[in-house]
Amino acid sequence: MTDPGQAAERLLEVEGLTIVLRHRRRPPAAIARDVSLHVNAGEIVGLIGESGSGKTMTAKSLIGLLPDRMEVVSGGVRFRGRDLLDGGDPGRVRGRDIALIPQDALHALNPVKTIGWQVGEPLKVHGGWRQRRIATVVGDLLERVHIPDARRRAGDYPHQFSGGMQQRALTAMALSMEPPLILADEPTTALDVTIQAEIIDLIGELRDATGASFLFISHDLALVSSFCDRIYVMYAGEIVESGTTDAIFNHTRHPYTRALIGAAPRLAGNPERLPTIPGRIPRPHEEIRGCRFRERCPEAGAACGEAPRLETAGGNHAYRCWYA
Amino acid sequence: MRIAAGTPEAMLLVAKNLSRTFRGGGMLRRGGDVRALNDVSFNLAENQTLGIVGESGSGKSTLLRVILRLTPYDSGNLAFDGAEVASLTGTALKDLRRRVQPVFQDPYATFNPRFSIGSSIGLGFELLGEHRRQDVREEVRRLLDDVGLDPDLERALPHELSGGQRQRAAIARALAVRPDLLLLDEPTSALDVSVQAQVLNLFKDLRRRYGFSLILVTHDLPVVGFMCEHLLVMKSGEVVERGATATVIGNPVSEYTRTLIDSAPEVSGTKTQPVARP
Amino acid sequence: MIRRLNWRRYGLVVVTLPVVAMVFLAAALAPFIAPYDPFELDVLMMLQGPGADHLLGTDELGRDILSRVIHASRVSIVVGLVAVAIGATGGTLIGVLAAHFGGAVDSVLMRFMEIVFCFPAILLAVILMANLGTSVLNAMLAIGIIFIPGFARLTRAVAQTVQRQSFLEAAICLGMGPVRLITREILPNVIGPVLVEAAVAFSYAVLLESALSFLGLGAQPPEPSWGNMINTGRGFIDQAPWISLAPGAALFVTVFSFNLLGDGLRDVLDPKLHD
Ligand SMILES: Nc1ncnc2c1ncn2[C@@H]1O[C@H](COP(=O)(O)OP(=O)(O)OP(=O)(O)O)[C@@H](O)[C@H]1O
Ligand SMILES: Nc1ncnc2c1ncn2[C@@H]1O[C@H](COP(=O)(O)OP(=O)(O)OP(=O)(O)O)[C@@H](O)[C@H]1O
Ligand code: SF4
Ligand SMILES: [Mg+2]
Ligand SMILES: [Mg+2]
Repeated sequence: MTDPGQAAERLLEVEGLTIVLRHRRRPPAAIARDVSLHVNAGEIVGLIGESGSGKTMTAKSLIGLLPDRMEVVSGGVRFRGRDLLDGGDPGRVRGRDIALIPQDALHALNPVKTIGWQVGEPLKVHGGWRQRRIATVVGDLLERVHIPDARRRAGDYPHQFSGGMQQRALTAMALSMEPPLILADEPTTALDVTIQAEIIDLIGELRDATGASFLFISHDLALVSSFCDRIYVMYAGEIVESGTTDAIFNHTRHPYTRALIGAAPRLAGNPERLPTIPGRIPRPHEEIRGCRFRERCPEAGAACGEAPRLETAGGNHAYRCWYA
Repeated sequence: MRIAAGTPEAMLLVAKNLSRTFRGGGMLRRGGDVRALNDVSFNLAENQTLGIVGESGSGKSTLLRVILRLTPYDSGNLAFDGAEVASLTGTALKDLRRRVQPVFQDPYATFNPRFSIGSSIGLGFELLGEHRRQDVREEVRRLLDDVGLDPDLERALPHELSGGQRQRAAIARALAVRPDLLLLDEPTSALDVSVQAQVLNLFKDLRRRYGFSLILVTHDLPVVGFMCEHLLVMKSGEVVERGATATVIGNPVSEYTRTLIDSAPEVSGTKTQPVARP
Repeated sequence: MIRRLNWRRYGLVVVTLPVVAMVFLAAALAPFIAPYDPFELDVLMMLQGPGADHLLGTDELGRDILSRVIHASRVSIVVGLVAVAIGATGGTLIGVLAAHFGGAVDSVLMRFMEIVFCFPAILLAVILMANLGTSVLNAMLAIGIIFIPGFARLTRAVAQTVQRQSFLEAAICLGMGPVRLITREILPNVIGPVLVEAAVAFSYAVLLESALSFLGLGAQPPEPSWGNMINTGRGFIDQAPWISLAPGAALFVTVFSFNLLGDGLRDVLDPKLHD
């Protein structure tokens, strides 16, 4: 599985990852099915899909943070060639090698601890640093994410920060151990466009300054298309299309990707009605024969009763559809 | 602005120099007073759509709450159908309540968790007092159907619905009293693109059918591009730009509007990193 | 269809409910299940230890302790129920009004509540009873009044969060008046926490009543109550400890199980533990 002509270091490699949710009365349901993806050093990779498609759980499984009844049943996750699933404790890489900026900023911070204390927490856990040194580093970190008057505001409690500032504080926390890979789970969803642009800028800045890689999870195609190098499109637990941003948006193969792109309104020149995707995403336990998008797919045909395999269209571009 | 040429009588809503200041100075507050609205003026004609955009904290929600009379304004004038909103009492106030309806952002808090969806939507009919009990149920089912929901969902509790379904139900509740003006506060920002497209189309369909005016608050410029003929840009409680949507987006006059437009990412295959505020 | 019980959610209630039911049953059926007349003196059987005739022994006047403990539960239960009813109704009303109208109404009501809250409960009861006279009825009233601030604070806090939710504003915008707003939108959402608080308050009421009786301010002898039985037993603690111990144990079990019931109700009403 090597890409010819790609010299960049393979930082993260996920192969055939399947996550299931165990249930007392039902058979286990697949949350992620045979997910393969990779992130190269210095790359910003997007992971998009509707709510409930399994983006968050895929990201969490990489650092061993799956909820109670979920587990990885097959597949492999390698970080710099080291196996994270077999090698025992995935918690070891958490924070140090791979950091997560969690989805819900407003609930991710502890309301009774200061921002500075929380941002410095990973340094205490992983680095065992002294208090004075931590305070200096925390100040630098908050400055780096453009918190105004960072050193003083480190003493603030979360409720004294606006939503955007809280989100940036979480980003600072993820950066504290200077991890080579950061999983950013919808870090801008609650923010207005100008602050969103700031966070996106910051991510680009960090990549340029430290060579860090990002897996950027979002359901906002417009956003992802504006700054990611490559994109994975996820639907009902499966990767249905992947490729460079240009390939995904200008040479779209998969009907689902096409539908998603069409559904987003534009600044100008909108049609009278937005194209929509009928129906809804299937729940993980719903058994579906053939292509998982079939019931909603405008292009479905006779072959779709059989589950399509991932095909390559040259280069990095791959898709999972019989008629693409 | 085209509508500015109309006579005030043809206007559904006329705001002149509206201001609202929240008094600070509690023990834990630092900054003191917050000027949430500062000399805001605009008009809205019948059957018109107006989008309001602006950064977080620029006073968009406050403006809607002022129009709904959920919070008072300190100075300026606000006339709904020719009558000053602040001075409405009795039946006139009841009339305003019926004719102006909100749809809020948070799809989770928008229904009372203890009651079924149907019972919450039926409330509007009951308060109107024009229907018998049996008819209310029929009307509720018809409305649910109108907003593209299964009528049997009338018996569902709010937590049993998805975010998109709940937002549709909230629209049904607002439509029950046949409003003339719908105020939407970020109605789709908690939803997926695909669900957002359905809800936005629904607004357009329903507007064609029921013919109401609409004010839409959002931080997503393309949504306004799709939904609204007119656009109002706010910053720190002030209106910095207003006009026809196409004109403003194509030819922004104020610096701030330009930044907003530049920061708004658009679907495209080329990386065009959104521009951050300087 | 038989489903497996969700123990995390219903466990505590399932375990405590039988105990609580037993206490209520004992009170309701006291004349039928008590082996003796609680007032019947028997000078020949004074200060008997627990035995076959008298399961929990007899007191200094030869009355059967078990029968007296059973009959005394009536006083405790009635006082508990009435006091909690007074406290919950008054407190909920005040709390909801304060939250809904805010501003001056809120300040006045809550400042007043704080003043009431500042008095040590037992002292307040003693002062009230000194003015109203000592009787079970006045004990109920006194304890009920003591409970009002607690319930008021609780409901005010809950109602304030409800007040900020958009469904309330949606109802206002539909033209709903304040009375219906409170009864239909706010009250149903505060009932849960009030129920939890009521179970805990009940146990506290039983304890307080016993304390008042112990001080001679509640049920008056020969009417048995756990508090005055413990008090009488004090004088005989060396020779006949069972006189105090039996009502003490009854008191403990009742208070403890109602406390647990409160915790259990909290689990049942917690949406996060839904399956
Ligand atoms: N704690 C949990 N226990 C059981 N199932 C869960 C849990 N969390 C998520 N799920 C289920 O797993 C599936 C995938 O969820 P996931 O959170 O990964 O979706 P997502 O793509 O991140 O969606 P969103 O955009 O809403 O965040 C969903 O069907 C969801 O209902
Ligand atoms: N009840 C209140 N008490 C005090 N200040 C308030 C209150 N409501 C709003 N404000 C302040 O008024 C300003 C405008 O708030 P508003 O909610 O109208 O902004 P917005 O434009 O809707 O922002 P967002 O996009 O984040 O929703 C903010 O600074 C806010 O902190
Ligand atoms: S395989 Fe068939 S159903 Fe699936 S996406 Fe392709 S055309 Fe649609
Ligand atoms: Mg997610
Ligand atoms: Mg707002």
